[in-house]
Amino acid sequence: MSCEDFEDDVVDLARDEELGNTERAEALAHVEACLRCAARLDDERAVTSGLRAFAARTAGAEAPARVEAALLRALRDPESADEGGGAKRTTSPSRAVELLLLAAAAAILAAIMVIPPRDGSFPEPAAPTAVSPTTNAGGDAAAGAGENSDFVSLSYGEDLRELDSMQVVSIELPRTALAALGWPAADNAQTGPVQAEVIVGHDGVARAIRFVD
Amino acid sequence: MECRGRGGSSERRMTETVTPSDHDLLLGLRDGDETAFTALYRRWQGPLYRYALRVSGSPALAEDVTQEVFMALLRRNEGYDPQRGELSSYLHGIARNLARRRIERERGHLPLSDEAGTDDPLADLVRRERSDLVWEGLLGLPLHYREVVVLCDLQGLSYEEAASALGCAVGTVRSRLHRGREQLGARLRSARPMPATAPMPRMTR
Repeated sequence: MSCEDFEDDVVDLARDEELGNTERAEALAHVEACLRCAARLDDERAVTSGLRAFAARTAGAEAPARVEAALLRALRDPESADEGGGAKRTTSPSRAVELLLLAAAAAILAAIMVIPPRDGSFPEPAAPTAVSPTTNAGGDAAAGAGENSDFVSLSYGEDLRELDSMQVVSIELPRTALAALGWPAADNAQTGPVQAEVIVGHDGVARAIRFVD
Repeated sequence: MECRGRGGSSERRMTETVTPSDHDLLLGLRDGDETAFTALYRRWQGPLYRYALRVSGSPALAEDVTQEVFMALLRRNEGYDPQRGELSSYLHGIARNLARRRIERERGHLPLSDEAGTDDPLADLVRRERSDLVWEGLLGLPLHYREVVVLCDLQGLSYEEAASALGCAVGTVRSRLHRGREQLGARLRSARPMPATAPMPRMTR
């Protein structure tokens, strides 16, 4: 066996798996005659040893009991799970934004319109902490959907006026996506997509949203 | 280290003596059998949670991924085809995709936000373990190497099972494992001599 061939087998040899008896015997014989490859095998065995010790230390980690409980609720009531209310423990703001944007991107009829700044400024959003996406105030604004609402911050602790640049993007999104933001899914009498405007920073991350006619 | 052997997953082998089979439980789940789902969940939540935890370093992400894997199973139980591989590979494949999406979106900087300031013993252990050079080195690997090292060396999947989970060739798994371990070894050697494998406290809830 050459050193090159040994290199092909050294990981399997160090893991003591996936290597046939013949290859294993040949590799071990090569190590007896090659100090460089013997040192290489020692290094790989040390990696194996460290990984196995780490695996053993984390072998008892399991999902919290609330996960099973949430899944059973979803199994019993699939509709609540589809609406996002049955299984998820808490929808974080960043996750809500992702869900919102995914829903928006998926809308075939999405109308993307970049609104240029007026006098070098952008529509003034509500103060970042003034209205949270999960507050009732936000819910009222969204559920209203028949009247324009103020921009609602989607990021905590960030002053939107300090952004270097941003765009306002008009989108349509399914009514069910409202739940991802912690808003009521909307009045049952209302159907069809919801119109919204999203302030997007230069990094592509949504910072605020408002619902319009 | 979990028991290991050629050609099979140690996490999976521990469950092979349990009846009914995964296939039976999946059939029961298709009929809405809650008992079948519970058995399936309890059989697989641990390995899947550990995969996501080990590859991300974040208990919060691991919890989300575990839940979403089973939500996916509830929604599209028919998506699993036994002809294409073991359920282990299928579930790890879903977990891998979910975890990868989150890790890439958060650019690998996953805070232990849910655990900060709590008395959760698991969180304390995670914080301690993350200072472990092995985990630190692992989390520093490029994701495509890290995934393979976790699947093969920590989860105990065979090359074939890992290839099935990742949707790539066995040769790709071998080469990624080779390079991933090489980089991990270099990181560990540059930090300090490889730590001894003396018994450490086990992570249990």
